[in-house]
Amino acid sequence: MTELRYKKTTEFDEEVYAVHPEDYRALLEALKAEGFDYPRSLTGMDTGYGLRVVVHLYGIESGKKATVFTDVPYDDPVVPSVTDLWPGLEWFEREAFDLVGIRFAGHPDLRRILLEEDWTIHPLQKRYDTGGYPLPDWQPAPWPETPPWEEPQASEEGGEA
Amino acid sequence: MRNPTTIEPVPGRTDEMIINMGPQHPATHGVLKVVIGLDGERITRAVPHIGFLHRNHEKIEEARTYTQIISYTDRMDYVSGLQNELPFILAVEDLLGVEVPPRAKLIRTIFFELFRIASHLVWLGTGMLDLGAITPFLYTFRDREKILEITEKTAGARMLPNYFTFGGVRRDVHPDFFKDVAAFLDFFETRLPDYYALVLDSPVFQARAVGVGVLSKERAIARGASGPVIRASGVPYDVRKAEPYDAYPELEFEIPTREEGDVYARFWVRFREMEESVKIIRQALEKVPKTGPYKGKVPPRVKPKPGARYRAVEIARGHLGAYVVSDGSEYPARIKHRSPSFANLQLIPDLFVGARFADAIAILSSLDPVFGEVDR
Amino acid sequence: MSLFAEVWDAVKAVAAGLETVHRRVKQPPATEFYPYKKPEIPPVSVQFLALIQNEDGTDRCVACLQCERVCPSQVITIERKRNPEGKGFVLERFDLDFANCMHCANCVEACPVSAIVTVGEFEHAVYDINFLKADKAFLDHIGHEAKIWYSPKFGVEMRTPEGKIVKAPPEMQPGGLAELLKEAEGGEGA
Repeated sequence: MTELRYKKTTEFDEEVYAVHPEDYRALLEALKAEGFDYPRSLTGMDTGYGLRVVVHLYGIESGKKATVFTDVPYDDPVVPSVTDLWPGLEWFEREAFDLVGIRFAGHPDLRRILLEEDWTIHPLQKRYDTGGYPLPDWQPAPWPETPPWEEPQASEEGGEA
Repeated sequence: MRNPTTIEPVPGRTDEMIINMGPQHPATHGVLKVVIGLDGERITRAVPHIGFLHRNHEKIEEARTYTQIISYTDRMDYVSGLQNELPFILAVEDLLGVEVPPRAKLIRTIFFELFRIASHLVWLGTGMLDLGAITPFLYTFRDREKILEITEKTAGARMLPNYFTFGGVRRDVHPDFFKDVAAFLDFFETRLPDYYALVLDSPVFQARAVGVGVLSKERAIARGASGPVIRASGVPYDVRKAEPYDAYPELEFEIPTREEGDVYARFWVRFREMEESVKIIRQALEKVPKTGPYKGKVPPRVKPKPGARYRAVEIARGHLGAYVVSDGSEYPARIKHRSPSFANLQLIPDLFVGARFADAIAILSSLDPVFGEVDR
Repeated sequence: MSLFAEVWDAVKAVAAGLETVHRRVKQPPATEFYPYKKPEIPPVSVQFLALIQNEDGTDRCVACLQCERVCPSQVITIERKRNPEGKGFVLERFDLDFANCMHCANCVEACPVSAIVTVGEFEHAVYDINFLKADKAFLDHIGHEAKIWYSPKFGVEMRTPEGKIVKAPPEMQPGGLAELLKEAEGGEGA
């Protein structure tokens, strides 16, 4: 797990991992192998500068809790699906797609779940008001200078070029 | 407008009948629609559709202050209304750093377990109604009425009381409260044997339930099932033990589990849970001080510090979680309610396929979904 | 198991069920005869909200807008003006839309002067939804008619037949247990 781009902190009694979207699936695979076998929840949210996926995991045997989150930009909100690791997240990913608009690549059945199929908006995004109408003066915040995860230090290896 | 909620027939296959069960079917406990492919009596495919009761609580709550949100959380699982307030309150208390006095914790626990009994009584009545038994419905609602009366006297409403608050409970209990609860427990213990005789020990019911809708242990964990559903499959996962909250660390109780994972096991677990709840309330009644503070010190304007917190509780249907993200203002940035029935309903394709159509109703009532909470 | 044994088991089960039912038949009915006999609702129960006026007919409400602010469904509308004599504000308008009210009693909790209260009344039903839009006169009227009401600041209060407002005995107060226990101890001591 050393080469993955993530930052681990401890909040209250949980381990919180902020992970780069490209390493999101790899980190979750590693956590699943560590014994986090119970999917507690999956949340999609709008942070103002992008969309965020938050996965809450629990180990039935170990009793440990973990939270993993990653940020994706508004114009390309795609994260890999983890339903093959935890089939219980299938509907949660559909809900995050439905209400927040995150696309889960590789999801077996990514349809709207709570809203009707003919909805065009994702109502939990901050650009809509409670009635579902676009807010006229809404502007996305700039992408943060320092993302929550740790960027790789060694950029001279060729990643930048 | 096209109807996206049907399943396509298999080309060339004429013996499969596709029927819609719901959303107006009386045995679906609300507005669930399951599109079922039938081969004779056997179910070949099952696609559940939810969302008919969707109100988007989460968007509404982003435009409300923290104090106002508590009255919305009640309305998720209206059968066990009071229990739904707790995960949100616990999460905000963690972010605020509020201390809850021990007496308030015990009062909360007593109410929490009373509502578990009330919810299981509704499940038993309506579940047996689905299976064709009308009498338990009348009996259970009569017993539940006593719990609702106790609740109304203290909390101010029967089903959606909005009674818990940050740092404790809203008001002190009615002077008769402890007496009433003790009297109810005595009364309820005389009723439980009747329910066992009418339902669980009846060979007629057993013929309907044993070996039907078997859920394996691995599947239950992977699908994120919780509550009596996962415990009937042999996983002793209970949030009250896994992440104890309120007064549960000081109370002694068992987690009833059963290995079979069929409809009978899920009924059995809920029956035993009612017994355990009686035990828990009795202990709490012994421990609770008759007088004392019922609310901790909370700032008049609830403004948690920026951060995020996920807290879970074990309501009657399972693991109910609340993920609260605060940005330091009076309004939350995001609130996610993780509802147990939502996750449990994902089991419908697993459990329905291969079962007989009549058993689908039994399986559904053993999952005990409440649609206010599934659709939120 | 043979078919005969299964049938016999089922017959026995039905007989056992009937026996339980038979035992219950002798118990008194639990049904409430509502339109003929009105059930007593505890004053903390959130059914009707009312505005309480003092014994001399002045408003308790000081128009501080706390209830308007905490209402989750935003059904309270208050208009106020500066008090011409003395400080503070006086009410000009107090509207409460019961049709959209979610009966959470946040307003009652927030009221600093116990002006808006829950009363032990519950007969809400009307034929026209517009009748559920209550104005100040209507809320005052319920307050006048109320015999018993609750607000967190003063607890349960009652109106005597002479029109006086008194505090209810501790047996009816939330948290009245402390007083009752003290009385019981004092009684034993004396």
